[in-house]
Amino acid sequence: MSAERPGTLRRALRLTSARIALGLVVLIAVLAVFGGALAPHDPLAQDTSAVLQGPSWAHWLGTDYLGRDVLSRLMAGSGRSVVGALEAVGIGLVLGVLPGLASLWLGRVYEWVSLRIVDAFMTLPYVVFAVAVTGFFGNSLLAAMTAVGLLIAPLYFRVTRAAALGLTRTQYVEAAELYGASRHRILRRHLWSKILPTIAVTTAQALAAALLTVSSLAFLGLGVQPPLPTWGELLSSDLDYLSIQPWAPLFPGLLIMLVAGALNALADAIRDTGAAAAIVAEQSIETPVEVVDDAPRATVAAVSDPVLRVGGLRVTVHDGRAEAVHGVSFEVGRGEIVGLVGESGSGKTLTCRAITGLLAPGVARSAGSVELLGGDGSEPVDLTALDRAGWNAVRGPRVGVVFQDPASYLNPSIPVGRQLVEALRAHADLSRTAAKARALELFGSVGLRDPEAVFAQYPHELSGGMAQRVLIAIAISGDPELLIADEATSALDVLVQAEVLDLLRTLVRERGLALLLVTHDLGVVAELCDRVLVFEAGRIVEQGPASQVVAAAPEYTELIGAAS
Amino acid sequence: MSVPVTVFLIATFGTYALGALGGANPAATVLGQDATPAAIANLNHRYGLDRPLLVQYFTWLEHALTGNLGTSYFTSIPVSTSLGQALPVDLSLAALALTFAVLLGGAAGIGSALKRGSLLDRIVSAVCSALATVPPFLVGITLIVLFAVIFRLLPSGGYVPFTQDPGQWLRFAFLPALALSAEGAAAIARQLRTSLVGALQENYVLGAAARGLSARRTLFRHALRNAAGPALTVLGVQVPAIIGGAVVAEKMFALPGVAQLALTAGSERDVPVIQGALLVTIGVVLVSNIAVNAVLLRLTPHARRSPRTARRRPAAAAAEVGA
Repeated sequence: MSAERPGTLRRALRLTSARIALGLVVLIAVLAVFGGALAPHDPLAQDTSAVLQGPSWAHWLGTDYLGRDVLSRLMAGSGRSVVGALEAVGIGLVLGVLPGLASLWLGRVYEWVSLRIVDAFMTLPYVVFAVAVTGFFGNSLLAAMTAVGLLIAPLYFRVTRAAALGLTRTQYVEAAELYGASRHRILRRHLWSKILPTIAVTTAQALAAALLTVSSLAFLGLGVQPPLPTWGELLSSDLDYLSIQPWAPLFPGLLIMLVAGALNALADAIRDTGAAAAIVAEQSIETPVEVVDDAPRATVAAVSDPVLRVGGLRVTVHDGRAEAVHGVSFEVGRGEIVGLVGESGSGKTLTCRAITGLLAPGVARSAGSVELLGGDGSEPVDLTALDRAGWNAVRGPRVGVVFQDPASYLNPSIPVGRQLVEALRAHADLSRTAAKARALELFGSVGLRDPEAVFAQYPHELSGGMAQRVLIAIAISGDPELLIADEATSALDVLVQAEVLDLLRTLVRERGLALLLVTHDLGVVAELCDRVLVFEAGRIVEQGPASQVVAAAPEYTELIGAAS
Repeated sequence: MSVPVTVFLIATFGTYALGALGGANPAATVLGQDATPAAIANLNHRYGLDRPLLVQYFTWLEHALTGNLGTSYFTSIPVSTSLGQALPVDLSLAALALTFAVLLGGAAGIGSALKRGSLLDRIVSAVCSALATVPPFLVGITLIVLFAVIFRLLPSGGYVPFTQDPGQWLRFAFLPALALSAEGAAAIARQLRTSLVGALQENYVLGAAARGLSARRTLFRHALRNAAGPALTVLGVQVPAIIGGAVVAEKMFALPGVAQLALTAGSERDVPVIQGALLVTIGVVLVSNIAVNAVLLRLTPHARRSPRTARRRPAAAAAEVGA
């Protein structure tokens, strides 16, 4: 819905960069395997007559302090450098991924112990640990890379565990478990598809990090075994002759940068592809509607004491390339409950979002008027001409909104009571204690049985019905004249739904609210609404008193019944 | 507090055991190849190396906790004396580097998340990618060439303790700290951008807007609060990286820190000094982890619930399935 839509050019560029990165990685792999054979000179052949030379036709990258060809040493050193990095990453992969997954399923004792061991490893810096290990076991590339590998393992452990944990917390896995699906099946169906991209991204990054660590260690003279060339060895010998050849570290340095950069670009590309798939999936849900230029068929019924007037409202999606709402007009009166019904994608939610100015990026109101008519001591407001500050004065004190899936509309990190207090104090000059007293009062008035307890709870600690009551309390906290409930009861079970609908009816009666109720449930309409607007493909195709529309238009009943 | 203590014990025991297993004992390093078996046995006994590993470890730990880390195999200087001189160098340097990383990375991350796709965003992203692929010492060399050689603004190496002259300390610490902070700043900027972009698309941000909260309040109190967690975690992970980077920075900028001590000891296989340096490193990292976790817990309390608590609400979960 809030799909970020990069331009085609940018997406293509991203693809190209991924291809270049992949090409570089393949090139390095080839160098690692055949580098020694392809090298133009013997990487170990010394020539005392040509020491520390600059680039020339015979030696493209010059010669080192023993007159050896730098290009040949770079090429021949690729194998050992890449193998060193692979070794470190391989150790990390094996010691990280499986224990990481196991930590979710092998019980609490294992989980606790393995997490502590991982924590212990994470306290050790790569370079310091490598210094220590080479101090303990003697200075060799194997010792240095084993040390680095041991420290890469916790990274894999954490990443794998986090991805798997994130998955087990998602509702569909909880649901699958509730419906009795075995853990093994959940694991097979969902886990690997979620974790493998994460592991791929981590591996690309870890390889880059390992190569960089090797170069740091080489700078310190660790893991270097002259005369056998590695990129690190080249760097460390270059650094000894920095005063004569200040540019020399550039070649191995650039090569390491290039490989590390390619690996990181590849990691980004893998991640982006995942994100792009999600965007495509989101887009396929909304059905773009072509712009059709005709007048709304339904006429506007006269409403006594209107609070909201919408005239000829049009909403475009996909950055204006398609129109999804084709000019709708209606009014909502004080104390009136108006139902917006229609199948998914018929434009009812977009209409509500346009009224509250909460359209997602890429979605916009292209024409039409939206007005709060005021009266009863409040000013009329043109809702199409507001900036953010203007909206802040309208949302809350004039218009309240309640959404489907209420808990997600509350900040997960803040107790719900404090979020209500925040909303109260944003619109009125209230002291903390006064705001808290008012909040408890509001919680009581929306039927929460223990306001004090709810006040201190976090959104995840509330049931769906309680969260919706909290959201309603926040929505009416500014004493608005219009309340918009967008599928506010759809996700609740029947009993809780009835209670929440009852609450909404009471609020309308007691506060003289105008209520705009978006729903696809004709039962809700028949029970609660005074008037109904039927949406179909971005237009209002029928409207009238609820009982009349529901009774006289069985085709809508079928239509909507099929959609829900 | 039991967790950090356990982690401390595991980490110190692991590194101590590695030291003991490495075979770099004083007999081999000090006496040389021609030592008689009796002389080796005598020396091993003097250092207590003929006792079981666990006994050795706990004796060492007991002494360490009272400030006695043994003496160097080579110089006979108490390890705690050398570390006492070297540690303040690293602590002050790391603190400055962390400050740079948070300020630079935080500003860049927030800026690029708010102005997605803008020139600023693209520059930040390019700089971050570049920094992630540059070998750390190249950053240091570049900074030295720029600030010390070309512009002659700052010294290229050396050190004055903070307690002696804070102004001079800053002059000497500025370049190494900046070099150290580069990687951390890039990591924080990237993570903060990602998590902030994600947080800004969350329903609770829409919810905050629907309540009429100001854009600033929505950003800082709602979006950033939830987005800061991952960035803070990255910061926590960066502490060991910064200390690791300090080894390179100390060598490059000629700073008399713990890493220099460890590096010299490593090349001489001077086990007591290496173990002392590791102990101090582990201690510093653990303390900073505790600090990061304390902030994290205050910031996002809900993140600490176990998945098991979530499963205790089948009714709520089932209700949401129908959505």
